[in-house]
Amino acid sequence: MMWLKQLFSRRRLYGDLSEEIQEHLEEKIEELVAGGMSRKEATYAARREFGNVTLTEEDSRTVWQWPSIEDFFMDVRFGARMLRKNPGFAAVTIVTLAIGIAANTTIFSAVNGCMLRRPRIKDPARVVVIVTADPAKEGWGWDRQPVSAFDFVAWREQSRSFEAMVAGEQQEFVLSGEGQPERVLGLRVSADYFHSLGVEVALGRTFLADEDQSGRNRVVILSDGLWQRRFGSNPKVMGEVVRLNGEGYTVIGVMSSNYRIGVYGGPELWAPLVFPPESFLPASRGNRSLEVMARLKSGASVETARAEMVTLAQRSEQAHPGTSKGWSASAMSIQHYIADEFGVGMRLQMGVALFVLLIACVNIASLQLARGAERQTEFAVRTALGAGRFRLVRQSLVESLLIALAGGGLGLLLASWGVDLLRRGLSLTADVGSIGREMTIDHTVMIFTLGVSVLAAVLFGLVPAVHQTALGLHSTLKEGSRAISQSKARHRTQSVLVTAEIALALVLLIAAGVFVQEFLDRVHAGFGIDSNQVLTANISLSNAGYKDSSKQAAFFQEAIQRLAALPGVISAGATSTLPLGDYERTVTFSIEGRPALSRTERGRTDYFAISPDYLRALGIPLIRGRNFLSSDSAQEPPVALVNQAFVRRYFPNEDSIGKRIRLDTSGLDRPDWSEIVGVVGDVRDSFEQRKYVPQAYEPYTQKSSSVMTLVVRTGSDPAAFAPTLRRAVWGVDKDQPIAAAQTMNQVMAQSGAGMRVANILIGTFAGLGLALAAVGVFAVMAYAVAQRTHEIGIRMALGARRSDVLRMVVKKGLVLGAVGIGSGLALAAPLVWLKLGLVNDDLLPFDQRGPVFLAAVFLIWLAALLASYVPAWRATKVDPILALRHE
Amino acid sequence: MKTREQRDLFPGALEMMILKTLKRQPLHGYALVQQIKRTSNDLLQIEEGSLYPALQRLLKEELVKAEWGISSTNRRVRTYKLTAKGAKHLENEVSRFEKMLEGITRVLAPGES
Repeated sequence: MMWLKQLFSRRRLYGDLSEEIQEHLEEKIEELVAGGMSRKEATYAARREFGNVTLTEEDSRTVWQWPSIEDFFMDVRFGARMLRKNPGFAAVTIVTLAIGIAANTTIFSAVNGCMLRRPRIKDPARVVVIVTADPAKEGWGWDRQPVSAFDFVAWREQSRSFEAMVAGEQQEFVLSGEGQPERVLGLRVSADYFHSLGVEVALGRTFLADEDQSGRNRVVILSDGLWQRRFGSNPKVMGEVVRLNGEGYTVIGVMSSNYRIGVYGGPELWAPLVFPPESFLPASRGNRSLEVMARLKSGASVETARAEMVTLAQRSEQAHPGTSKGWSASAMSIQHYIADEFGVGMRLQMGVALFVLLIACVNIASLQLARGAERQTEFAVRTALGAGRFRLVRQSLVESLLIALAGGGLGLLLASWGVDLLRRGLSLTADVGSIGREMTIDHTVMIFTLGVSVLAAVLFGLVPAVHQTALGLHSTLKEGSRAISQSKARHRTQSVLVTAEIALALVLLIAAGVFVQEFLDRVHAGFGIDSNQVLTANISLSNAGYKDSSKQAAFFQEAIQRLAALPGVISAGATSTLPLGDYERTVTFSIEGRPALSRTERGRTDYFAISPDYLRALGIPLIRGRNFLSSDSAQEPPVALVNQAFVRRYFPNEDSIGKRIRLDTSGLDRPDWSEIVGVVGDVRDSFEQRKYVPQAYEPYTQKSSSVMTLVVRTGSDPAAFAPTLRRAVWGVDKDQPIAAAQTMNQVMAQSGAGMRVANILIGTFAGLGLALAAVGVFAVMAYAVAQRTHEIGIRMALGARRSDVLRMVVKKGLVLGAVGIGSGLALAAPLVWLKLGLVNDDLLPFDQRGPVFLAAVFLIWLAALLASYVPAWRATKVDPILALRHE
Repeated sequence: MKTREQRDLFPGALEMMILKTLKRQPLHGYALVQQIKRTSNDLLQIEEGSLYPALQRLLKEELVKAEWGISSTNRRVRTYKLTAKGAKHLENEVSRFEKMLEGITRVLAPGES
């Protein structure tokens, strides 16, 4: 406990020491005086002989200390005092940094929620996802396609890299019984699915090995959410029979609440996956719908597994060229798979946020340099008193660290607000909405923020620290408060920093500009439909009673007829795929009379099965030929409609009407050809897409679909019509659940929501970057003017006019701006090809990005002008007499 | 700036001399400097810049203790006294030093190389 006693008695120890040394000096002086010296001489001599009293005292004290820690705390105390003494400086730097950190923390909380979360399964690092790659390489995710049942079974048997390979297939179920019928998302899984992933249920059991046999498969595991919502968390539900798609399933388990793999809202129930015999017919080999995962054997790595999958896929291709030509397979780690889903867009936002932080750091470094001028003397004096350079650099860094931590704290506060805003913005869309739900500021995010703050402190602290302490001690003290050469060097560094800042801000502005331009282009481009006063409602016929395609068609026919007969309805139709609402369905097709091609070589088109009035309900114009008629029934010759883009691409120089095409809507080639009877207007598939792509339509009466969206054009407010629509559908089948009815305008807003949020984010960041850069220019110019007050005074005394002074200062600012813009443009050059992380690569032509660059340059230039004008104007207010008398 | 190593003969030499001097009689800082100077016939000059840190080290290791008192010249002084632990430490140091000195002397002795 010795050290503890020392710690508390230390003040006395130090007092003793000082007094002792003082007495020592006195004694020495007295002796010298006794020897015949004058008192004054003796004092000098004694001091000279003794050496540096302060240093000796300090060295002696050091014996009692843990030097590094104590110095550190002293630095902290001193730093805090310095900040308190300069509240303006402290506030500006802390707020600046907080903005930069908040931007990063906000985006990181999304990255953390979506890309970094570990799946809640046993040893996820050993689990891979098996994906296939579409040789057409079209659209997003072409290289992460699902697997066919045929390939799954073959690969499970042939592969050597895995302990187990399991499959899951999403399926919608209608859960009926007590209460309203409800559509829930389910996952049909291999019997050993949970066992292989190492997942435990909270209640009951997982599937048994033989429960994937037809007849034994009527068992279900409920998600925790569904169990709470629908069954009131009643454990007695175990063993009970629930009705799914009209069939009875025995509840055998409830999944633990923290189980999850991906990010998008997971399934609400699990049932065994049974492969009916027809999944292995050649016709079904092209039907890829299984999400396959596998656990690596010990000794196998993701790389060896990937190599094996490539070989296996080649074997499939050789055996079945008809359905597998060109298709390859791969294995990727599950975390990589999840992270990639969000990849590009989030990386872009992260990069943009990082730029804001960089600008903030450069800004603070520059401010610190400016303030360093005032502290020059202080540092010189401390050096004279024996402070080492390292000690001074450390002191300076500790001050930076204090700013950084305060900035980090405030940034975290701002970020929690940002996360809230972002979450609200994302909640508009169903699939991106789940990103929002995953966004929170948890301890990972806090550690990230702390790390970023410390890193920032080093970034903005090091330059000024090194700069400030590299003083010629002699000249600084001799020249008093104005060391010309030092201030010149500092000014140069500061100019470099500001130039860098302008360059960074310009890059940011251009990136944002490109993004906004793409967004506005999509807002202003026509969608090809008239979305006002249209109500939509998605209907999925999953009940067992609708297995037959004629029953499906009959249901929709009846529903459409009832709707059309209602007062206030202008027209009512249905489509298998709602543009802007659903993901587009793409099929390959052949044209009669042209050379036969294999599937992978055939042309591609969006595909819709629609009712005749769908076009009218959504306001899609008929350009030529005729619309579908109610007489185009299953018994009549097949007909089709195509859009103008289809004609442009596939019938550029001939009349398309009367030609016959065959759309590959199922695994097998259909025997029948459909005659093109009309050409309709182009419709955009999604908000992101700007080009029109080929689209083909067939009547739902000839190509039925179990899932369709009802589209109703009303004479008045469409939203108010929703209850009527529901009643009409329930009039046809009271057990039929209806997904939330939405107006077409809502559907469109959702389609654009992701891009809009991204836009607002990047726009905000760019705005912040611009503002920070302007503050930076302002600070440097203001400092320069303050430094030159004396010089300006002399100039004016010698007859310079105010306008000369104004011009002189503004010119300096504009030179800085020009250099910054030059280097910024060099940095931003690659942005001409910026992909923006859009779902498809469907972007404006590169040459149209020129105006964006010009606008960004103009904005920066304007900011530089304004930021230097104010200090310049102040310079003209310099009173020559005052400025000179100041000397 | 001189380092301690440059001022000292070798690490620990200063401490040893202080302890030895204090063994004869308790002294305060200034007297200690004078005493060592005198005893060494002005061959050794102790710098105050080293003396005080050295005294603090000895205090911390409890080899000496200090007390405020009044000197013969009627001055308030802090007198250092050797502790038992200090005496023991001194003994060890001196015997170690003598061995070392003997070794050095032999190496430096003429005619034996």
